[in-house]
Amino acid sequence: MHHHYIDRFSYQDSPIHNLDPRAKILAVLAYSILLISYPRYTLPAPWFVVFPAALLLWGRIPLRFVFKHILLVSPFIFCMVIFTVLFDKTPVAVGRHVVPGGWLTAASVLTRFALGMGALIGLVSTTRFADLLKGLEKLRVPHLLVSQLRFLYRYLFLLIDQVMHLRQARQARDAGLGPRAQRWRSSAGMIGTLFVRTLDQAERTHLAMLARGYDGTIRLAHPLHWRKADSLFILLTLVYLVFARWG
Amino acid sequence: MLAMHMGNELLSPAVAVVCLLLAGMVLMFASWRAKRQIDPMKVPLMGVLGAFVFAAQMINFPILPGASGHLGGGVLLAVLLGPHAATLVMASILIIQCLIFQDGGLLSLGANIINLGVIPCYLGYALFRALAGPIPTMRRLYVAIFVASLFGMVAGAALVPVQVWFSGILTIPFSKFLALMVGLHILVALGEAFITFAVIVFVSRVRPQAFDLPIADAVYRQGVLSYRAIAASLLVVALLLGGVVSLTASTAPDALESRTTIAENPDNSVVRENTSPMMEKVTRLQEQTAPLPDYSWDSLGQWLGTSTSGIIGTLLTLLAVWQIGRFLRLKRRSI
Repeated sequence: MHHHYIDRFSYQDSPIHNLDPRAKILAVLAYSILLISYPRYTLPAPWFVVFPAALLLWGRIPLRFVFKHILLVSPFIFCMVIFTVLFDKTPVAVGRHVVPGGWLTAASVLTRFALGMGALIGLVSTTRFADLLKGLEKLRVPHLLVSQLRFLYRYLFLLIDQVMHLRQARQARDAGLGPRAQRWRSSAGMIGTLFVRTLDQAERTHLAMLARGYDGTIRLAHPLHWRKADSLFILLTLVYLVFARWG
Repeated sequence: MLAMHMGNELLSPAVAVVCLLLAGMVLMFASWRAKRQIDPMKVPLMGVLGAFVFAAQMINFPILPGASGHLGGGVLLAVLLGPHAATLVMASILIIQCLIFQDGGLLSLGANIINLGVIPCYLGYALFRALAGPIPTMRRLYVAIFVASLFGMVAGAALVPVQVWFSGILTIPFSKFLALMVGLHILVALGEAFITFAVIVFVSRVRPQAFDLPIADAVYRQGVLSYRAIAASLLVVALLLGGVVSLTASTAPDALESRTTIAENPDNSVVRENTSPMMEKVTRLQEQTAPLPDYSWDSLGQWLGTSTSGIIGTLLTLLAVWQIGRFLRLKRRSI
């Protein structure tokens, strides 16, 4: 159950992939909190590069993919950063130079964004989604929410395919031309059709799951178990983080 | 319609944690209420509807040549499922967007769930229920959806500058940031209202049993958005944009803003002023050519003046956009 578009690398094999998802989730959370704990005009310490780089390189995630993805999700941050540069002209002393504060904030926010995204991609690309959810469940995220996430993920593949079909069919009918009002109406009809098909699909799939003995709990083929390596990973990460932030 | 997901790096740890706790509490309340309302067998259905909103966001609506928008989904889900289940579904969508597509960070999830899930669902649903009445007719249904989308989305978006201001990472003037977010989302909400209305009418015609909202017969029979309704919504949006946004964009710093200004820059030194010759030239040119100089008529009160100029300016812009659109269409026909 995976989609080349969504989780391309989480089925590889590496020391990072083999870690317990709980260990990885906690480590990335701790890293993110310390990363955003810096004040506005301060760049994070260079040591903060080590954690995401270790996750990504050790997990054998292609860096090209990572950079492309970071760029893809960055537009909102870029807008915000441009506004700070425009508005914040407070002089800040950096060594012997005086720099407008906006530029410092911009550099700091962009660095944190790239590093934080790197760590998050490192977490998600090295963990199968089912394992990630199991980890969240074990970390006391409410059961109803986790089962929501599980179903959302499960059906997303089916529905993305449906949308591709609907889009292709419309493209075949109007070739992207035609009056705008008509296209709006057809878009609304497509969403409505998708909704009705979703209801039917949900019913069929749910019946099929019940027929196979679904009772609300998901049993993984490989249940999670915490090993010494996981404890070691958490310990090393914490020591490293304390050193990077305050050392 | 726009990827307005807040990132980790715009928040301070304190604000992020407070938002996470708040969002967690609301989600717990919502799942408690949803469990009472919804048959446990239907819980998977909620997850499926999350996937539906996700997939529906891939269907684009042409707005202008080159620009297209898509469904947001909060108000649609609230109308179809009720506010509690809708909030849960929106939260699961945001979590998946964060985990799989890295849209928004792990720590800013709380803020995003509040802004894009909790507020649109609960506020939107309350407004929808209040306005739609027991058996909505076409017009009431449309007005209710329009108002619910508008206030739900705008209120959520207005929280972004508040959270950012409390975090103190960015130093964008609060009132300008607020005006920008509110203005943008008034436009976004207009599109959202059209789409939500069209989808609800479609579903109520082809699958009336899908949701428990009784709808007047007129909706089944015609169910098409009239041009008058579209024109009226455009006008309302234009007036709102002109009135609200220009008012908040006035030059005097408000209370929140002056607090940051003073903290950073106690003697209000000249560093903040822009004195490049280019700016001066542009300002002079604008003063000479603008029909509404500096957005206010001196004879009227400052407050009223700014707002009126804003409305007139927006109407003129709208007129210009409409004319450009007509011109483009004529040109395409002639080819």
